[in-house]
Amino acid sequence: MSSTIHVPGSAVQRPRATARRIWASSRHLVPVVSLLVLIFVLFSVTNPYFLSAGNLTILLTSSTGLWVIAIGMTAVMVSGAVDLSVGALVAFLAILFAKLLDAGVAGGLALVLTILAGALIGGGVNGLLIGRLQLSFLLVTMASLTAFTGFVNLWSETKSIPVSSPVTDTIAFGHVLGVNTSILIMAAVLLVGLFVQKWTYFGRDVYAVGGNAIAARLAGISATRTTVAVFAISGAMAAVAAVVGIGRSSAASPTVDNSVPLQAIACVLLGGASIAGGSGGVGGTALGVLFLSTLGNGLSLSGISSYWQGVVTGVILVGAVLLNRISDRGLSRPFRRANPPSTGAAPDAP
Amino acid sequence: MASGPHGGGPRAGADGPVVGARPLLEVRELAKRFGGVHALRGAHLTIRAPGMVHGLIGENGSGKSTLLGILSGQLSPDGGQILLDGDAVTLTPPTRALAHGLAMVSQEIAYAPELSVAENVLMGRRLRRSALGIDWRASRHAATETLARLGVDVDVDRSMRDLRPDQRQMVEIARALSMDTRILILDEPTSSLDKHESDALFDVVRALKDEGVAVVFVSHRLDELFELSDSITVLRDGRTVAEGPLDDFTPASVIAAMVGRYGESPTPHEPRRRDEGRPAALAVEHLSSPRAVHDVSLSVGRGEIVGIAGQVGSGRSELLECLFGARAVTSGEIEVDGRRHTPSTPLAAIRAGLAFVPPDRKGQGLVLSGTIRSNLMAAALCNRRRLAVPNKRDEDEIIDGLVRRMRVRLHDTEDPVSTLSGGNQQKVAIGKWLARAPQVILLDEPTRGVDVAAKAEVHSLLRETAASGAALLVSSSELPELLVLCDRILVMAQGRVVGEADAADADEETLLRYITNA
Amino acid sequence: MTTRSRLPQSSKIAATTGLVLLAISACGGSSGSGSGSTSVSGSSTASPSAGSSTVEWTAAPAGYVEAGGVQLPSQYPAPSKNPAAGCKIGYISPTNAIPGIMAEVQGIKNTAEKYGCTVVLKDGQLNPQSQVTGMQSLLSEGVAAIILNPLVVGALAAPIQQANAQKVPVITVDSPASPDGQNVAGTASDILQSRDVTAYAAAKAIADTKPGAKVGLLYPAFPAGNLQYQVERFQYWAQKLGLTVAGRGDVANDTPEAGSQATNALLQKNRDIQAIMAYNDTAAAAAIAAARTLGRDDVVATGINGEQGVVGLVQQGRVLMTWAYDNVRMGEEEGKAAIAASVGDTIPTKVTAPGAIIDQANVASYKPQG
Repeated sequence: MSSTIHVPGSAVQRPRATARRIWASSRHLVPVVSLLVLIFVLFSVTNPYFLSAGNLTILLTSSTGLWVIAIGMTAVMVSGAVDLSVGALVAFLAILFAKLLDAGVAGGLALVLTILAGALIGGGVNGLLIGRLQLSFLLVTMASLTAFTGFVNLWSETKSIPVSSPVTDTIAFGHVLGVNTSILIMAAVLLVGLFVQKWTYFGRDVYAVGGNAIAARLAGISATRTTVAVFAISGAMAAVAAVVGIGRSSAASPTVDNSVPLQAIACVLLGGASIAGGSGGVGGTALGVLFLSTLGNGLSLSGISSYWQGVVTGVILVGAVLLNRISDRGLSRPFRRANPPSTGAAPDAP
Repeated sequence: MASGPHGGGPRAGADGPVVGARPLLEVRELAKRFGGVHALRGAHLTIRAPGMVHGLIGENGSGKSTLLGILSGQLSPDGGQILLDGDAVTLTPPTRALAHGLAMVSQEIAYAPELSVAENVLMGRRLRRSALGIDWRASRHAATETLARLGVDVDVDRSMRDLRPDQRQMVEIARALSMDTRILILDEPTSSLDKHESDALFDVVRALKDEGVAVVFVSHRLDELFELSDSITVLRDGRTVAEGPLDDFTPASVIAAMVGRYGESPTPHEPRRRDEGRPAALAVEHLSSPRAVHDVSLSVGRGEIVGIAGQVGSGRSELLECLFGARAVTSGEIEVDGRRHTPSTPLAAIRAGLAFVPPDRKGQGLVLSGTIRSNLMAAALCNRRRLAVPNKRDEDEIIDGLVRRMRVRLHDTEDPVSTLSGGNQQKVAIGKWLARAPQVILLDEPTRGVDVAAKAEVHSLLRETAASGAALLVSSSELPELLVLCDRILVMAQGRVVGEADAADADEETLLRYITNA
Repeated sequence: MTTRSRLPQSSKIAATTGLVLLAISACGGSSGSGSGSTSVSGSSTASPSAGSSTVEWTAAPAGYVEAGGVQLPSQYPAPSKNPAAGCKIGYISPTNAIPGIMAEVQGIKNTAEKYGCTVVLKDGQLNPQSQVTGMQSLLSEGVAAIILNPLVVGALAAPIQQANAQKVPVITVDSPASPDGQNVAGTASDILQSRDVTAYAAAKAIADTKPGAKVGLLYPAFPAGNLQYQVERFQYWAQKLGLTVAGRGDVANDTPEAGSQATNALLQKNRDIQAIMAYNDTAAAAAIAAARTLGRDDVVATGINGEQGVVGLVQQGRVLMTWAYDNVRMGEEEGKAAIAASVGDTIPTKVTAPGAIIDQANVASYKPQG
């Protein structure tokens, strides 16, 4: 019979455990939330137009593309990788959608097909090369970025394709129950993301693979399948962003914006993720997108010269990172180099 | 089946002690090649019945890790057979090994630091789910229960990185258990545990025995093997050279099987007398560092070897870090050879004549991707100008001298240091400091993960270094090592020095009394 | 046609892509020839009367010269004699990755073949250094003349000097972009992309439909000298034709999102803006999208490029007009200039390439080139 051996550690605390748990899991969001609130208040006070319904709508709808892509990127980054090719994939899928419409396919069906194509290409190309052959994700996604861009130019002959379809028009400018369709899409993607992340095996697999790939493997999780899946998600989100973009400009543009993956990565990091993987989440990412979007909107309204806007944005981002570190390490020594981790916890006083 | 050098190996086939008709696990003639290297060529292992603890021991390079890799499903063998309950099985990929009931807790702790204890225990499909998705409440409950089976009481919501190493080890074992394990493989589980925690682990292993779980216990510490195992397998050069019930072996015969010849049991050396005339090589007065070290004072004379014993977390590692400038010091004074030393950075410490061999040679002591040469020169070059051109001839001289002195077994100094065995790596990690002729050498766990034969070599090297005038301060969790190596032993607990003894007058019991009474 | 854009983010790829965008904005075009109903007029114009459905290619639409616009020839004289056998004409692009460039090169080839010459194309790769190397390489290959679309004029001073020393004439494209600017030292002639004309046409389109309206200008807040010049001319002509310029919105980089933000800022601060003048079609479409989201369906925009993608908005009347380029034609003129200069003819120092106003009336018969 085993006697109970007390391995010194904290006893399980039943009272208020739930509250403590929720606090523990959302602690890392405090920096970005407080910054968001700060700039929101700042802009509201200094600019009479900021709080108007029209402006807030624009604030949200102009970031729909970044929002969905960043949520897709969250899955990839939690698993420990990064998808640099998503900007090029957006352009490719936009052209695909336009060509489908030109070929007479109905708008709704074309939408579904484009999303499927995004998932297949993302998972099949990036996912397989990285997950199965274990090639470096940096190499693979940079290579696929170049390949996708080439395909875009070939296929579109570098011309933008006009698109007029009720589907895209509704997505961009329509309303459902008084709420902008774009905003509904953003909410839907966020909710699905939150659910998958917390309550499905697949979601936890992504965290396991990112947290420790060996442990995950030994626990029976297939890193290959997980990797293929997260890149498929990234591809599908690229498709959504592509269609939203088409709706906004009434045309499918073949221009590749490679700053999009970088912005998405910044948002995911602001939301508490780490480059190494294993942490972060879509909730934090969404807050990060909101933060960047609010910052851009408020600055552009303020009339500060556009050149200064770039500087201000950079400075504030550094501030956000520092704030993250302070919240991790405490206020006393955010700038000191960290001590090596203690092997134990010798208390301060007997 | 090979037999041990003193006779009494198990007899093959049905004559052996029979508990069931077919052994629980039988590994026959296992072979595995990596390129031109034969890691395994004829390894055997037999666990007769459930509920037995089977020890596995072998020098570094004997094929132990390869064998474990195959048993856990990470590697597939080139030849040989694995039989479970008499039926041949394939164990790759790891999921299949797990399905067959084989789980391994590896030496490199494999956990996801940001995730909770519950999730680490139940990683994968063992998380409980309901129709709506993962049921976190039920999962937390299941994890707590599994840990309770081991007698462990830890809040399953905490994230893994907040736990101590021994707690993490328990979580990993719990994880293996949650998979309905029949055969649990523990690979050097006590390497980061102190005596007290190791005992707790042994109790857990015995509890598992009672539940019918077979355990393969891999360790290089003979005392542990002899305390815990029912039977032993000894590997050498990729083959099983001895196997049988524990009673067939003595510690000496095990060592002999491992090295292929009889070794000498290490004799304690003559303690040195303090050189009264000179100032102490290292004098520490009232040193404090928040949450780690409190009011520690000690001194080490030239040529003296002083050891520090204590539980993990007693502050001995942190003390060394403070002396070397890797940890912030809030009060106290340090004098090296009579000169005041302010440990602000490791570079300052090096310039003051200190050297530090950290406990984790792979992560902190060596640049694994570098060559032997570059590692040996690493400390010697810190005073040169950064843009100066290296002088190959000078370096060659230094390196040859070091290699000879440390008796490192190698092919070529340009080889990556990762190709060396653990013991030789440790010699390089120590050796690199000798190029500077330091006055004080701080060592933390100098022979962790080093096999018995190499351990003795390292000890004699350290004694030689002390004899040439250096002062050594050695922190270790292996009391026998301290007793054999040191002139004086200090005991630390909770960041303070709580006892001191001359090695000649002390034994393990005395030291333990100091440790456990603190 | 020289444009450069540098995005605030430091990614080199992003910068390169941005430049591509800019260059696309500067000229659209395809490998096909213009529509069947094109007609190139000289300095006199055929005014596109209301209800006409043909696309009129012109260098000076109705009222431009009368209102004070600079009148420039719209073609070069044909070379007086053939150049030496085996002659080569060199062309240095800002980057080959814009459809307009290939159409332009096709035009140069059309002319070159007539005179027995071949065309050597050097890709500027959006890198001033590559253009320098390209020029030096052309000179060592012994070209008879060089057509140059410079990214950074200053960087090419030395190769231009070298060309002069070797008696190789240099024709520049859209550099300077203004009809009364001084040509680059050492160059024989400059063919402009008629930006001043475009500005006039855009302002006129707004003034005709909404006389005296308040307009907002979208300003490229990234390094793009020609586009910034374009916007300055927007301001000039808008005021000249009786419109009020209510404000300027800085666009941080050439993406729809940035255009959207800038338009939002404009419309928030000036509720009575009724039209937005944009420096390219992408920005025009973004402006419309932002206006619609704010519920301002009454706001219209003007664009430049004649991109296929904006055709729909022109049909709907949301984009009042866009200015289409005939890149093939421009290339043909460049070819003539190059060969004529190489055989010693005197050629006009400035020529403006014709374009076409595409609006709701004639968009149906417009075949977009890009």
